[in-house]
Amino acid sequence: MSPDLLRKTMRDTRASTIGWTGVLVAMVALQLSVFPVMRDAASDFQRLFDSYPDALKSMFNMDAGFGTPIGYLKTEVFSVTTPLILIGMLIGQASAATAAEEQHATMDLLLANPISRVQVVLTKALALLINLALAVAALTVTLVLGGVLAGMDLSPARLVGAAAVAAALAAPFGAIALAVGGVTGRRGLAAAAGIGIAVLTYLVASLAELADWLRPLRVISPFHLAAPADLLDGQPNPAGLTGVLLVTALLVVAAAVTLQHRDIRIS
Amino acid sequence: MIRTEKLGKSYGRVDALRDLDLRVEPGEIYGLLGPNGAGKTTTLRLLLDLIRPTAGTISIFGLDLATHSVAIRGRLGYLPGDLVLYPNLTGRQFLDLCTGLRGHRDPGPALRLAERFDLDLARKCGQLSKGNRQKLGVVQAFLHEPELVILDEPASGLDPVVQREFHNHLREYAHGGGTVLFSSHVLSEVEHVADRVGILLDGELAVQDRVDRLKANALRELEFTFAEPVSAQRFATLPGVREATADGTTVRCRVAGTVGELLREAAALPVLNVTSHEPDFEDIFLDYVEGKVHSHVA
Repeated sequence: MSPDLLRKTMRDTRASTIGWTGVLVAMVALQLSVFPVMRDAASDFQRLFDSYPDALKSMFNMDAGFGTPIGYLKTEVFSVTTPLILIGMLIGQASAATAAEEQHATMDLLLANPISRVQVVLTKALALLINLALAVAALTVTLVLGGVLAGMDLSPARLVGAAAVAAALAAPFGAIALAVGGVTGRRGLAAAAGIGIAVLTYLVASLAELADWLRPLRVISPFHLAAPADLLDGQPNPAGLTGVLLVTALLVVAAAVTLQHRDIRIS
Repeated sequence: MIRTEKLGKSYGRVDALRDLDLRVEPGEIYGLLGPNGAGKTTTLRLLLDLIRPTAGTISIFGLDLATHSVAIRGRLGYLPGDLVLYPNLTGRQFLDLCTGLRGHRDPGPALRLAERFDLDLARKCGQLSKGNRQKLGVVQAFLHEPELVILDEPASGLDPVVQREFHNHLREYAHGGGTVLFSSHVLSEVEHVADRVGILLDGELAVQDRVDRLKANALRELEFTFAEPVSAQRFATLPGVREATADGTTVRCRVAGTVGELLREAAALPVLNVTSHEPDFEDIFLDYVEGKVHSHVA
């Protein structure tokens, strides 16, 4: 691990981290501010949701009820938007981590220093992990404070857990972008791979509620294995979480190993 | 200091470099020449472990590059040919990053060299001119006072004043025991700075020798002025004559080795004048590139 490269990567990604985190905090604060209105109109909403097919309700985590704090957070905050923002931030930063150094032709100068390519990948991955932790910390603070202000009676531990699981859910997609960047040295391809697989696995997890033949495939989807809603329900999925984190770690190792064994491109 | 054995690099079916046996000795300045695409940058990037050989081995400081890459890179400085700096860092921040990555916390040598090159370290790299970026690249290559520097086209973009200062710095560095391997398109630079040169042609080391010996063995041009027009053909087949051209009463011959036969043949004709031109380094280089002189690796 190189402290100087870590600082440099943190500096390079600072604007991105602040931007994405700002959007996340603003979005969650806005959603929480609307909760009292939703709660007061809960019976009307409930009648509306009751008319939806079960599969559709399950697909958007509506099964706990829109008027309860847990149900509202599951549907509004953790169903799509929060994971989407964290995934977007990570894919953007991970695709630039090593691939942009190659495409901008700064990798030659970086690797002229006594630092191994494995160190470069691991240091950059650590910087992204720190950025993710900072974004999730801001999310957690917003949830806890916003929850109090919105009159939600929620366990802070569950909120912290759900935010942490949202981070775990985003992690493998960042790792995919990092790995494809490590293999190809092409930022666009790395980002496309991360986004493409995120969309695909989201569809698998959500459409599995509608189509029985997709249900066995849910085990390949981080959206199923690391669902923040599980934490809010107090039903964590340790095996699923472990699997997601293991795959993430393997992808980071793959990024390091492939970069270690191939030629550095000249743009 | 640097030894390569049968070093080769292929991209698919294209051989970028073949059977390179390069020797760079401690304390010498070695200039690597060659036309575009000859394999100069490929050679230097192989020595930095940025690309991996498809054949042969590389040893630097007596260590195998394949297994001691990080340790070797810690002891050398490098300037890439296509130098790109981090645009959002100032020169000083960039040098601080490099000193940090090298675990060499004393910025003194780099700051002194920057001052010598009249380099403004307060400006962001993205705002620097090509010449100033190149100066910064040179400074970072020397910032940790390495035992060896590998420089790809180091004078590219430098104005003549800074080039002279840079060449002085190279000589002082080598005089102090440092070793330099550099590539260049500027033949006068190689001629005046390098102790030895290697010329790469089509991925092979065609020539490797001392600059003074290359000049001594180079083709010399003799120009004869006769009293009447003479055919160049009678000179073209003489031993050592590589090229003979006639223009009215003037005949120009380019000769390798001794000129005795040529002078005897000319003396049999009504010679009015003879002049001899010392070859410059550009002629020498072009003679090898155009195949007028046989390759040799000393």
